[in-house]
Amino acid sequence: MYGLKPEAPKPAGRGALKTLLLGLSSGLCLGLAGCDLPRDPDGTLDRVKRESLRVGVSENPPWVLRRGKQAIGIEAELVEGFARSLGTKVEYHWGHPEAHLRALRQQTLELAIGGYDSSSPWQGQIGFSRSFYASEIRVGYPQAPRLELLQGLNIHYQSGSEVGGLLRAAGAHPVAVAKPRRGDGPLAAPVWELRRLGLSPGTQVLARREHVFAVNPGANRFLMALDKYLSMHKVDPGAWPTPPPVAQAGSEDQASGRRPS
Amino acid sequence: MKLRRVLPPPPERQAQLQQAQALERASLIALLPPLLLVLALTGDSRAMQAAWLGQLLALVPPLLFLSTQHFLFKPARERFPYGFAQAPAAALVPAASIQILVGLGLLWVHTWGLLDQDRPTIGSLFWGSLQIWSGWLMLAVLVLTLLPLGLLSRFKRRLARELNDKALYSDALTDSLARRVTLAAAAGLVGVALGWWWADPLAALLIGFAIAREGSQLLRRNICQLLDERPTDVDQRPLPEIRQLEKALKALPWVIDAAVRLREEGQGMVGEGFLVPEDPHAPDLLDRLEEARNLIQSTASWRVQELILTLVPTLYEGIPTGQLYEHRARALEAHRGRGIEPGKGSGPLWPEAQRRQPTLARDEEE
Repeated sequence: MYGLKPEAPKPAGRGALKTLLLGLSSGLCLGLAGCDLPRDPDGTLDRVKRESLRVGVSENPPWVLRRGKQAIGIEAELVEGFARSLGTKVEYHWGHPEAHLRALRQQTLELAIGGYDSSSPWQGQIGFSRSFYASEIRVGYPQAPRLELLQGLNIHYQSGSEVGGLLRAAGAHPVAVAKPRRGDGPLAAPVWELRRLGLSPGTQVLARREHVFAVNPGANRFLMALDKYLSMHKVDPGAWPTPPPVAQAGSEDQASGRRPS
Repeated sequence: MKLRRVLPPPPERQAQLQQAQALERASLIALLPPLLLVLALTGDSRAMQAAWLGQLLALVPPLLFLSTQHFLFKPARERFPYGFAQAPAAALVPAASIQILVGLGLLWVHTWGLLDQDRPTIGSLFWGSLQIWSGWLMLAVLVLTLLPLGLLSRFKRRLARELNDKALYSDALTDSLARRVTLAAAAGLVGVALGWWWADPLAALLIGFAIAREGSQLLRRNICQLLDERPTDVDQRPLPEIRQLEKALKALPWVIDAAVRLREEGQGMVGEGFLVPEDPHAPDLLDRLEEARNLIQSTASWRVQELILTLVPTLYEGIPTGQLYEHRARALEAHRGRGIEPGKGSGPLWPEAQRRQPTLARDEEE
């Protein structure tokens, strides 16, 4: 007598959901099939192909070295190759990294190079390409120990680099040296540099840096082209025949040679 | 102290309740994989991050529902003599507040994102030499998560209507919110693919607005329930119980007028019934009162958990004590003079008293 009459449940927008699903999936298929998508907000890739690739460069051996107006080094070589694959020329703009990143945000540069890695605090403000090289900071020994214990060990590092802090955090005793050499004992540095000094790297990774290009944020079609190029090219900083960044400044003339490929 | 007797739900309701609990457990399991997938693929897309937050918030009501279920029919005790049926509503108040804050935070952040031209950069994934723009994968994942969200929302809504369970209904609404924000993020991504960078922060902005709005409605609903709002169904329409009970009480032959006051507690409702006996000196008044109580218990819906019946000389206040009996006699005479017999009466008995002080809410009567 007093029971509630059950209300008929309303079909809550089922048709709308289906239509939307259908629309979205058909949009997806069209996008994948058309291959015209994603587009750049400002037609970046088309502009680069038509005119030039504007690159902000800052010196940071072995990634980028300055030769007058021109740039050489691992990243410079990649950029030149990428521009060649697009059939365009590179326009270098030397300057401070911070200024380059600001210019990227304002779409006045397409790329910035000079040893950026993906853990940059600018992450999210600008775009990053895919990683073309993962550099690991480890401790190198003249003869690799069977068991690597950093605790309390005196380990050399390039003075003024972040490695000293990493060593302290790992419990080691960091010793800053201006010119790391092979004979000094354990040295903490990127693996490619350890190899060049003839040291054998240990197993413990103090830090891992994914090296990337800083790109114009939001230029997704341009980024796809760049990522495709980077995915097909491997680099090896250890094989780059330049003096290591920690070596004597006097032997810079050796660095003028291109990497034999 | 007399504790309230907390009645267990009837067997058919018990089955539905168990169904609801199973549904909530299933929804916790069903919501996790999409959540992890979206998190794994969320790159630089603000809208997708916002949608992820919306989906994360959809986990809160099921958790609260499940953790407050055993309170619903828990017996009352000395410290809590009225039982714990309001536990789900109380638990949803802080949850709704947090939801509002999250929504407002998103609104704030993405308004600046839109003004600062935060362009979403979305890279590619490589499968051997095959390159896939991550945006397509993100879109696929978002579209896939729409399905469980939509289904869950539908099932929960239907069951919540049958049970008149506000907590379950809130959960259904949160799932439907998660579905809407997922759709918005997908739309933002399609915009980004078309080269409209502003589609992404704009979608995130709308998502923040939707989350804050839904949160404020959730807060409002639950606060109203805690403020002993009149019983309503899940769509906030008044339930017929008050009128049905009043009609039943007025139909008693020894009663000349009756009124009922009800509030909601959990899935049930409790309240008071005021009876004006025709003859206040009848020797079997207590028997009749007990009879009326049994009648209510046996015929009213299970939702009426407790109705305390009280005998009152008149339904209206403000009549001086000395004049009460005279007033009653006069009113009764007038009542009969209009040809209305007690037990079939309707309409106010003491219009002049009602004019003076209409303390009892009688707006329910037409």
